[in-house]
Amino acid sequence: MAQILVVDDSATVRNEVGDFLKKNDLDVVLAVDGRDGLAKLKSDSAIKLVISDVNMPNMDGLTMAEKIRSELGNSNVNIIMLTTENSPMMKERGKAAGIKGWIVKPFKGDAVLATFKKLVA
Amino acid sequence: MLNSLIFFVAGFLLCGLLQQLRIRKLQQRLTGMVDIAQAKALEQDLQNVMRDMQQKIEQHELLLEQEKLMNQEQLSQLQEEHEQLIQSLSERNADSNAVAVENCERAADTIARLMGLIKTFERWHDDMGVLIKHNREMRVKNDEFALIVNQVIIVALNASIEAARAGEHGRGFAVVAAEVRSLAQRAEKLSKSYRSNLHESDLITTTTFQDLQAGGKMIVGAVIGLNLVNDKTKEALTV
Amino acid sequence: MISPHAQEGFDLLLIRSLKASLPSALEHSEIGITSDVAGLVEQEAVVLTVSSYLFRLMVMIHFKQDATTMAYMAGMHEAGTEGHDKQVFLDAIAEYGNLFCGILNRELGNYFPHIGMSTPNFLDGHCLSYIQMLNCSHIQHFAVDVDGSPLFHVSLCVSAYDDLDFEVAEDEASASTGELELF
Repeated sequence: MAQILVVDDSATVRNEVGDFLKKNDLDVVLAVDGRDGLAKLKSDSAIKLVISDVNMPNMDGLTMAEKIRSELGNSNVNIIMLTTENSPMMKERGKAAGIKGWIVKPFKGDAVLATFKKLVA
Repeated sequence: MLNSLIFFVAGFLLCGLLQQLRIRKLQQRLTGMVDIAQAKALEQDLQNVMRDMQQKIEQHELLLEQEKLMNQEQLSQLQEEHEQLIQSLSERNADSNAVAVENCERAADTIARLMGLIKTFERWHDDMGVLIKHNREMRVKNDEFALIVNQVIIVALNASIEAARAGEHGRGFAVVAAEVRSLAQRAEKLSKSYRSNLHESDLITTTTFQDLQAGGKMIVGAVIGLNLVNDKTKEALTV
Repeated sequence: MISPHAQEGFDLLLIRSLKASLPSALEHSEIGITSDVAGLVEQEAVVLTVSSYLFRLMVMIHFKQDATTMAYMAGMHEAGTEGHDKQVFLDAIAEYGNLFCGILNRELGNYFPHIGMSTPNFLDGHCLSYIQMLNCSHIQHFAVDVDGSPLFHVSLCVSAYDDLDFEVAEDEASASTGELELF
């Protein structure tokens, strides 16, 4: 069973994405903000993919991605941002932090499921 | 006899013909031959012309040689000047390149410090959060206060009723009850007014809080963009 | 000072963002400018802010916590929000606000390169009465009608720090959403 971490301050999004992934036989753990996401990733080494919002209180998604690489020293886990933002500057910052991809909300599960499965294989 | 005669005449005629042919050939040769003197003169002329031309060619060669030498001198002079120019340009370029790289590094330093702004925004965010929480608590307290005031009004009303029932003995008490009621009504008005103040305060606090959040993101985004541009410039300069 | 073109531009971008963010069930809804806002103080609202160094823009989404609105909110997400849990409903409205404002933020980003957005907060409808305190140069109210009657309202309030003028292109081209862009 592969592990996916979903990070978003909105319960609606956490449940929407989480339920969709669970329905497709993927094991999911949820976090409410960047700090929570870091903690959950640190404690579970089986997580292969992180899907995260950008705008969150207590640590935004891009800062979390940077800290995953620097503080946790984890350069293997794939990180994909799921956000309303689309600015090239944010994407550049994400690329510099080694994120794998970017999805502009709203979440359309069927369009991305195949790629997600590949990223946790 | 006749035959021999005919042969003799034929042979004579043939010789004659042959002689004619020879004479004609000689004449042709003669006309083909130039006058030896003329020929000699022509030969002399030709030799003179050739000598002149030879001289002229030698002169030209000399001139060419001189020009070639001059050109070579000029060329080597130009080359020298060019090399000096390139030398001084590349020195200047190296200097300005070094200055540019130094400026990039100084900019990177300043930008790194600006990133410290993030801490300031987080601090403002927390401060505003405290303010909003404070407002919420005030609203809760005010609502509680309003309830208490309502209770006081009811109690004062009941007290007036009791005082009236007590007749003469209750008159002092009735006055106090009336005053309490009047005070409670003023408190009620204040509480209502305070509630609308809280709405106003809520609006201003929340929008300010959000402005700080959104503005902070805008500034951090701009600074990160600047950082990326600076990094790319430094890369291009140190290639 | 916000120029008339800029004011129209803000209104147009807001309507475009509303249309793009509404759930599929509300595709054929009518969105228009309204001045009938008397009843809005009785409702609740979700507010969001978009800030640039040239202006600050605030949107208030007024909603009623009734069954109709809840039903529409439930149709908005793939997983579907079952039940009429108040917290779930509020969270769904907040996320809708986030989505709608996110689209508006992206649209505005085409004209103003440095721009940022806040997270959503809830306010009592009575706060609308004090909107003048925000020094807005442009205030506009919009109604989202479904089957002839308003389902919810949106208020727009823009404060300018400098003279603003921009022209919005008429084309409806907006970024595609939901696709994964791999790096």
